[in-house]
Amino acid sequence: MRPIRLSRRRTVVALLAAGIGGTVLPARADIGELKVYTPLIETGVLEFEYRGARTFDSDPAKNGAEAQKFSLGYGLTDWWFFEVYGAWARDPGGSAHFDGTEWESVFQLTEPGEYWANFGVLAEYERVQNRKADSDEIDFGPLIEHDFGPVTTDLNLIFSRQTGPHLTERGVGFGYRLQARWRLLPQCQPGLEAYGDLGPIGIINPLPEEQHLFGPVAQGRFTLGSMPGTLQYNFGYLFGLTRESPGGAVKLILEYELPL
Amino acid sequence: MAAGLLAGIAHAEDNPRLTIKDHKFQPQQIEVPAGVKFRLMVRNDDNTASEFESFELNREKVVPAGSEIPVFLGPLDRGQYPFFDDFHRDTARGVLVVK
Repeated sequence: MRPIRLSRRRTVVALLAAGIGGTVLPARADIGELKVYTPLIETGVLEFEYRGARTFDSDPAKNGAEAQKFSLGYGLTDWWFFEVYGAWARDPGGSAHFDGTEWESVFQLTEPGEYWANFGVLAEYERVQNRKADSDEIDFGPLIEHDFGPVTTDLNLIFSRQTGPHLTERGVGFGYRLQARWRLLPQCQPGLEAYGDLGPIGIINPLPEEQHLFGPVAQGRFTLGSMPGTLQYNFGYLFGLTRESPGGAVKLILEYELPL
Repeated sequence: MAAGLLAGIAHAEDNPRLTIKDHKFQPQQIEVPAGVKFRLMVRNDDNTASEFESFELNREKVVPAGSEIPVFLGPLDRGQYPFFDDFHRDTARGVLVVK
């Protein structure tokens, strides 16, 4: 997971202002990564996804950051789902721009219900567009899912490392994503989500300098009459919990799944 | 089974089986005991893929044509748990009865 930074440009400016070297930057959340993954995948299903988010804050430096992603994915086997993203972003006060391309795989490691929890792995490579000011990144981490009666919980633990050409964060970063949702109806499953980035492993940031977001979400799925496939949504508003976090962020994910 | 008992979960002695044929489940009703963990074997005899799905059981799994898959379920409370084939919703429906 790219740390939840509001914009890469802002991170670079902060790094330069701090004198570079081994300086520890405040952990930042990428609002384009406000998605909690399930380790379960569907074989032979084609998926079109839109993901969007926007921040709100009284501080102009944290207000109005936007991220939009479009992706195409496919369940290649009963244990491997592959997806390609195109990402656009807008920095606070800036204009929208193409941000990069991402290649992502989810590997399902266990059969649903076979063990106490369902396990998988997320692996992602992100190639940034602005190669003069930012860095590519590899994200990797376990996906864990467990049902508590009618409540399904998903925990993603994400380790990230920048690979150049212009490093803005050194070491291996660590972040989390958490969702708990009540399976009320297929069309409406209210829940809570939390996201955070704790910064590089081994370097403890003061809590106010970490970004943590938490808030209510709703998700569900609909069939489309005589059309094949299903439409899924996830919508919510997350509140910033620390000084570094934006005051809030709205998020929307739409997925159209089509069996082939 | 020993591992399951050690974990405090009883396992069903026999795995119930479902067959998908002509885009219908056979049988359309399966009975299993409450409070046990079991493996439902789903076989697809059609020449197109199906998807075993149940919101109540929180399961959604593709069954490729001509293959058989396990669906791990339970322990379940007494009640009725409907399931269907998401790729053939109009014809393939059934219910798991837990007693």
